[in-house]
Amino acid sequence: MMTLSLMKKPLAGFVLFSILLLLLPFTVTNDYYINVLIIIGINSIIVIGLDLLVGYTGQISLGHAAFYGLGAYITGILSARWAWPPIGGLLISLVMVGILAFLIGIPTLKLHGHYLAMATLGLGIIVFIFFQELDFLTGGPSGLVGIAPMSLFGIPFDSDLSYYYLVSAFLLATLLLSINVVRSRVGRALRAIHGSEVAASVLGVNISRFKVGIFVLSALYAVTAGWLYAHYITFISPSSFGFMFSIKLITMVVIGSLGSLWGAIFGAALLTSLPEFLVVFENYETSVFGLILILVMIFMPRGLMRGLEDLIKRMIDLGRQNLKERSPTS
Amino acid sequence: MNPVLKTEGLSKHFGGVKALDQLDLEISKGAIQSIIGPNGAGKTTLFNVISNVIPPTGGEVLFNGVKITRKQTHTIAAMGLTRTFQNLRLFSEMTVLENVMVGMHLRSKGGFFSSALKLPWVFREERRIREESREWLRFVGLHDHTDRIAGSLPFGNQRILELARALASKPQLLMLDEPAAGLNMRETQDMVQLISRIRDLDITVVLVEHDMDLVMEVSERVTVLDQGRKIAEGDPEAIRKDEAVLKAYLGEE
Repeated sequence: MMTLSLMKKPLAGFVLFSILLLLLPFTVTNDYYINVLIIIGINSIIVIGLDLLVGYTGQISLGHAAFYGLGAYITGILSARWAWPPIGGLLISLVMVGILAFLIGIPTLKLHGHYLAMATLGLGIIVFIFFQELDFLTGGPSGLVGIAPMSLFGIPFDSDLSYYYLVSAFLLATLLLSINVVRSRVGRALRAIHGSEVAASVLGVNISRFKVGIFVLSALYAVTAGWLYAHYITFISPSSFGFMFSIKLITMVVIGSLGSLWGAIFGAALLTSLPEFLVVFENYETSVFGLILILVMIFMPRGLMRGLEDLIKRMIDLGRQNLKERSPTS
Repeated sequence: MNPVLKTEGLSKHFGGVKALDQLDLEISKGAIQSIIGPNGAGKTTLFNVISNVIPPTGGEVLFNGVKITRKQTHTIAAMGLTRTFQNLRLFSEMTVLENVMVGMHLRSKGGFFSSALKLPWVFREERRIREESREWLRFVGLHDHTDRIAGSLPFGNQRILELARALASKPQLLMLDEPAAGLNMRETQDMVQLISRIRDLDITVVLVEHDMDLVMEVSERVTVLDQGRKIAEGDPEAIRKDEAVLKAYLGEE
């Protein structure tokens, strides 16, 4: 009942979620889990953006790890090679990747279905090769060392707890902006494009403008996440931003529920933390991981968020039926 | 009086098939004009080419005297020309109200930036969109279904919703592609009423239709197409008696 009404009032949900994020660190017993929560937060930021593109607008991207990687590498290079402050790295990478995503989005988003998937896949691979081959900038396959730890306006974020709250602040900002976009003229246009491009265009929706717009926005989210990642880990290597990570991001969107911002966070949290819990299975870890994904998709094909929603609705209906049967007043 | 819509030598070939063959057509302002013809006469193709969902092979389309032949569909919509579809194209995952709200896209302007930050004017605009969309639902009689998912409506209501969505863009010219297809007698009667009320809003209506009763009842002017050509034009009474029309529909004796 409560989750249902929350979905109708996303702002109430937002407030509750903020409180949850605030209190979460006090519930974990092991400091290592703060670490996991930070990565969940960073992944959530990317997945929210990807969900706007994939779940809401119906456009696939198999190259989002590239934008995430660019965010990390641009700030990483500026920091490690030229001692730029993190905030400068963020601004530069937002501008550069924003322009890049815009230029790539114009021709790419004219494609549909498999072709769009191939094009974005290609983008991911090309960027990955640049990370590996531009040794003098990126440090090549062995990675880039010496990225400065996060410090904003003279405030250092050197403890895991402080970094957790920094990431949470960015996650909440991303979420709030996204809730606003989804519940607006823009959000309706995006979902209309998903529903029927022809119908949207006869109603005056400029399809390519909105597709490119959401592509750029989701790339900017990934850049922000990459920036948070680089200054947290302070060491980055190409393997974190490869094809497999792009696939993992898509999996998070689908498992969470396409077209649900809460689902995006849910999916990111589950897929990021699951391997940690599956450590007990040792060698079978990956198999169990795969099995869980298969089971979720079989029993909740619309993803976890919608699946739970459906489940709750069904239980309410059952409850109502029971009530009716008990009181035969009709 | 200048026609609101005019085609000059409009052609569309699919391989060897001439779906539209040098078609000259004029739609005068404020009229309800029907376009009829046997299957494959090119009626739906005509709508698709006018709204540039598919590009023509040759010829021109003029809207209020301006060439729109090579303009993008959304630009044509912004000039005041919209349409519905024979095979419904609702945003079926969205609610009834949201469908109509998309219809108001052209008459609002919140963009990515202003919407993400929910600037005060976006907030006011959103309220205006919502209120006016409800009015449109009231106008077509779907106000009891506001929050239902569009895809879950009965078929007849889905047709009406598509119309409401198109109306919300306040077009000058509305093209209805078989508005009565799949409707029962009572629903068809409601549709006839609705189309007449749309004309009263100063919207020119062009419709493609198979249901002859509907055509004869609502149209002021009827154009008959056969194999991509215009074979007759006139008021419904004249068309009913036209030799060429009878021949096209019934075949030669």
